[in-house]
Amino acid sequence: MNLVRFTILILALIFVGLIVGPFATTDAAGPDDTADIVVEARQFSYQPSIIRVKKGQRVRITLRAMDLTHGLHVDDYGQEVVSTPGQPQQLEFVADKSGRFPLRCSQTCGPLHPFMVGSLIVEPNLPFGTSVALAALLSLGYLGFLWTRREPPLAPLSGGSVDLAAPKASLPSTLRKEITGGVRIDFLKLPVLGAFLRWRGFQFALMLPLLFFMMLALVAGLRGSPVGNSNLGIVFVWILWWALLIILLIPFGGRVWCAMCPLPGPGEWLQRLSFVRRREGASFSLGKAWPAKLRNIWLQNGAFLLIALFSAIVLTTPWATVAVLVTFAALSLGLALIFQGRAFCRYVCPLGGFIGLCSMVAPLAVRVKDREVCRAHKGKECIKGSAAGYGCPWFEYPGTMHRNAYCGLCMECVKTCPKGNIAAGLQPFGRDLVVDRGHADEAYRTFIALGSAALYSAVMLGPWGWLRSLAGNPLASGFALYAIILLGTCLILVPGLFLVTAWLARLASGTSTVSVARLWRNFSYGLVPLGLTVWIAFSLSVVLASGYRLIPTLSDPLGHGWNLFGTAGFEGGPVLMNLLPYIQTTVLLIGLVWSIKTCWQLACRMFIRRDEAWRALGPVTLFLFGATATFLWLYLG
Amino acid sequence: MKTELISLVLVLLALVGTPTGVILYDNAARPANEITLVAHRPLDGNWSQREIRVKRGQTVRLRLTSEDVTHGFYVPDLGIDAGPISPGKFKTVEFTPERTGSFRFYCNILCSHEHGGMIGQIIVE
Repeated sequence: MNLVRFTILILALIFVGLIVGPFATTDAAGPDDTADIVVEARQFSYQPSIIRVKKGQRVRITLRAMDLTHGLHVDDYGQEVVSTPGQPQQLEFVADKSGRFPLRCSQTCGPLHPFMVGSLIVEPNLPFGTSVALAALLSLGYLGFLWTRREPPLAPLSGGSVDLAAPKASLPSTLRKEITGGVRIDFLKLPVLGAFLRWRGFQFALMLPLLFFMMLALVAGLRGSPVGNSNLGIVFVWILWWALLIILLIPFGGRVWCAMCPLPGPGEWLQRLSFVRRREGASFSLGKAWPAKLRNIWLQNGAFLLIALFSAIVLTTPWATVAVLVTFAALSLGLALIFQGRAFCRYVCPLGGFIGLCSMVAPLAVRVKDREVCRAHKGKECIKGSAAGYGCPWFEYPGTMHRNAYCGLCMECVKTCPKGNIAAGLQPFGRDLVVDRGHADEAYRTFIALGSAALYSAVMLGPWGWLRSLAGNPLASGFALYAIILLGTCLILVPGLFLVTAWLARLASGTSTVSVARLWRNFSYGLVPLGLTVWIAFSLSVVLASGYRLIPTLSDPLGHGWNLFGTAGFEGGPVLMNLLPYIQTTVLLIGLVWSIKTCWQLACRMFIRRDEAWRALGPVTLFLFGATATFLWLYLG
Repeated sequence: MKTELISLVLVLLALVGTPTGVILYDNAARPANEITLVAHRPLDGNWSQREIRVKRGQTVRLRLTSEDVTHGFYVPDLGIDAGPISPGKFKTVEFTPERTGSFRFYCNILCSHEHGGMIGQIIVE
């Protein structure tokens, strides 16, 4: 079933829920009933942080600032009050909308101020209940739909990547078509875009403007105001760039960011002793080969967790963001001078690992048109390089490359291939996820992405002040507890739960032909769509809540009171907060269905019979539903 | 080689030109008769200037901002109360001192436990 139809279906169901919802409430309170709540505000939490009232009730909140001036803004209700210590202030309104509404501090009260959030829950919490019910319905419905697809009984199903070791002649005709024609629309054939992609200056032209913006972010971070949301460094990197990356670039372009990222620029230019032109022989690098034992992504997994640990500080403190960027730049330069190619990007960069994982969802791909041509051609210019361009800096062999995961889209092979056998264009969404042999390091990357997204959402968007104070101060002893929670979730809890799922899947399948380990590894690729949509949902709430900061900081990048474009005084606020829960639900449900679909395709490749595959899908769907419900709870519950 | 040279110039412009330009503009953007006063909580650095020296009869422009939490700026003897000063935002206060002497200024929005120590003085000569 296609995604567009599913989106429409989900939206329609939410719409029905919205209309039916208000009539379904019978125990709503009368207007005379007042909930009187005293909220104490301290850096960076409210006490109580979760306020539960009944729909229709009058709510009177007395805000008592305990340490310094705090505010309280009720999202969607648009109510706001500010209190200074010793001067409590009151806020009164009728809770006529049901659901969860974030309470935000409206007076900048310190570094973690953007995450000072509480919850007003107006019961019955219909949006949350409806969304979980929808997730359950969709899971069951999709399983039921697949039940009708058990015929013909023999797997595999078409629609995925293909094991290259298999001789071409023995494959069914549907698969053969996919080997030779993976990319449907070839951009290289288009007039302007094609010429741009073939142009030697392609990558330099992408990197240069971003190098300029990166330097701007760095100088703002170092010299500008320490107030995060007044500093262009923070606003550029963690609001604008992050949102563009997660919401737009990765889902559609996969690793396209890796083609334009300015960080590895200086290292690569020194390796080549040139910016644009192909220069043979000369190199300012030892040119060593990357150690064979490290040719996996465990380093990236570790680096991602390390950054994740300190994310609450990195995201809000300009100097910490500068420190991270400078460390990345120094590492990429240093490694480029010792090793060949993009060793940093492929094996070390924590973000590269994350983007590589999610890029398998994206339609943008570079592939060979006909593998037979590559097999017969002995020149292998795409690896060695030729007068037209460099050998693949990402250590890939395009001739057999069948996944986006490690292709940096640098377009060198487009230039070097003497046969014109490379296509750069669009393939179906999520095609690369259907693997035959999964890898444990990549499986762990998925678990880390899911686990850290849950922790981030809890720390930055959730009402749990205690968790935030643990995460916010790396020098306090509580930070060790936070580290244990984060690492435990990513490295033990999520992989462990999935191991149980894999074991149950094997039990349910009724056959012992597939090992638990293989089920665990391969099914993990099916979690990627949900993993990506979870990050989209998280990033949406960040960009909608703080995106308006871009307008004033563009005029006053350092927070020094400049007014370059006359927008420094812009007073905005969170936008679309009333629609956010519905957007997040839609995004998550798309991820859920897409993940179930991918798991079905994966199962069809592992099991000999489709009915076995279908039965194994049961526990996996349960896991996916559980994960979706957890995130729905984090965002709406 | 021409492409390479142009590229080198562009890269240097981005790497060196951007920070230099920003810093030069930052220095040039501060007029002489203007004083920027940055508020921090006492344990994080207090007022950026604890003593402001001005001349009698000369108009002074004070640009007030905060770099951590909301503060106030209050000079009772000169009748100045700037109201809340939010982090990252600027408030401008203009006054012309008519008599010499020293006048205390306070933070009048409770900003921390050490709030009482957030004091400075304006000395009119």
